[in-house]
Amino acid sequence: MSTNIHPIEPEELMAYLDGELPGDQAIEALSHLELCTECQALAADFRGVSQELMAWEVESPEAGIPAKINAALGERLQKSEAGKVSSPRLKNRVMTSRWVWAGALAIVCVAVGLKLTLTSRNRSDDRSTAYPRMASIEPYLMPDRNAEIALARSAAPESISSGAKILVLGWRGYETAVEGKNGFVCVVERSWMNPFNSTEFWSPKVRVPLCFNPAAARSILPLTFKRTEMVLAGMSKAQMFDSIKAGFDNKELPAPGPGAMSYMMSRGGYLNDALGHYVPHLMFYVPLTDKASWGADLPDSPVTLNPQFRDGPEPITEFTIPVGKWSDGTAAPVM
Amino acid sequence: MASDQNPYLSERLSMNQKTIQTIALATVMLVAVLCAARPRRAQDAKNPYPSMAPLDQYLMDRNDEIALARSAAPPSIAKDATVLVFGKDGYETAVKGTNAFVCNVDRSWMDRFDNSPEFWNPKRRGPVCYNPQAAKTIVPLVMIRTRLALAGKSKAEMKEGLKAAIERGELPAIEPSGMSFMLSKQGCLYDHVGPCFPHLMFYVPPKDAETWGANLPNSPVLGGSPRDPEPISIFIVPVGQWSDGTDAPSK
Repeated sequence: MSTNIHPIEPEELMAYLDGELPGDQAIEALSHLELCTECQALAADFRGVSQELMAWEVESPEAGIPAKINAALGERLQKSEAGKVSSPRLKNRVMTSRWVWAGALAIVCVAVGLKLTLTSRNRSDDRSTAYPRMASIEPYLMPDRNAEIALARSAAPESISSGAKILVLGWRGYETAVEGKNGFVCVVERSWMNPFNSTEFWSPKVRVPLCFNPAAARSILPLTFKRTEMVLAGMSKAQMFDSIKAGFDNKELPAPGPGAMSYMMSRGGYLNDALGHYVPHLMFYVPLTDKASWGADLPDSPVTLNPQFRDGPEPITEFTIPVGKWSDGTAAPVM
Repeated sequence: MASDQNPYLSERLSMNQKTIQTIALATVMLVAVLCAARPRRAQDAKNPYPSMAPLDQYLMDRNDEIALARSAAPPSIAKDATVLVFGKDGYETAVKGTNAFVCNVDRSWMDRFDNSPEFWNPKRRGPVCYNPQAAKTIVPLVMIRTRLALAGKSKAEMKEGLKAAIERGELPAIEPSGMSFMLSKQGCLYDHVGPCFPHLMFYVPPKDAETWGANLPNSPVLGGSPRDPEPISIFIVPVGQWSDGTDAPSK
């Protein structure tokens, strides 16, 4: 990566991913990262390396050292503890053991390096490691509040979103940026609204603008709040799953209200790496039901099952129906 | 020279006056006739189907009706659906299905009661396939309306009869996920619309159209207005393809 092309150095990018850049630099890094595919690839590599290092468990040194050396080391340590003896010969022996340590460490480093190299070569085929964990909250935030408001509004035609409440994601969760008057609520959801088994559950690139109708704002939007709160609290996926399930079991979370639906007609969203901004569509939320009851995913059927809540803790079935135009009224490509 | 001083001139003047009076009278009568006829034509245009036509005009060939009903949804759905056909005694099951969808061809009396000039249009054919949840409510509704129509009830009497049936609990409450397919390119929904456009219909408890953002500029959702006395709102979402998978004209 050349500094002539990119405004941030690789080291800064790594620091950004680790949440170590100060605010203004983080915003600059995020702005560039969202536009630069080369940097996105590099960031994915960095994240992969981070995951490898986090997963690497150092073995107990005793396990990798021959028994004789181990015994001698033990004997020496005992003597050292007993008499605090110090002699040139003893120092040589300690030095010998240091050389052994250094050799063992070198072997481990070579092994790790070899594994990282192989992993890097296979990374293009292994998307499951592209977004292994949440690095920090910064990459998920939109530095420009007005841009997030505009993106949220773009989910529905202006005739609807102009009267809607607008939420934006901040450091402590979603907050109201604009009060509404028609009962609709528009928001830009993040990657953790994906299915729990999604490979992009932690993708900081995901931006999903949608406008809930009043029934969905009452019954589906609470799930967005719930998941976001848990993410910001640092809970694991398993903890989140269990908490949501408990929320439905004890009726803290509501079932989908009759007529709950939402608009997703923005051309500015980014649903995931495979779909990009997808096609304009409506979403319908119903209590758990067989997808066949809507004729979903059958040949020539305009109805598809949305996987968002499939196999999840939410007793909700979500259907998607493409529509012909973006929210601004321009024609969309045929799906 | 005064006319009373000239007998010839006086006679001509008298004849001219009679001619003028005759022409004026004829003109008045013509205008009167025209004025009387115009409202009648306007009334005909506003209400071209004031009452039920002879029953035969609403019937069709049984196999054609089965095919038309199935054309409402893609074959992947319709081939396993129950198919109802309309006969002299009402709807009857022509094909027993396996996927709990129900397809039929609606007749004109399934239209709303208010502002529905084609309520008795015998040319109207509305192929539709209800999903299992909608079938539980909407098929009974079709049966009740059809029973009332075949009993010779007027539109107003049908409305009252339906209201009474609902009060007696004959109409099951709509389930939250009731919807239907209307993707046939062979249907005829209204004289001025023809086969309409392929669309899905969603049945929900009574709601204002605003709760779905319906009928607003650039909104893909239509409908939602009240259907008194039915406790149901129907929303319409046009889609891009007919049931056979071919592209429909952009809406």
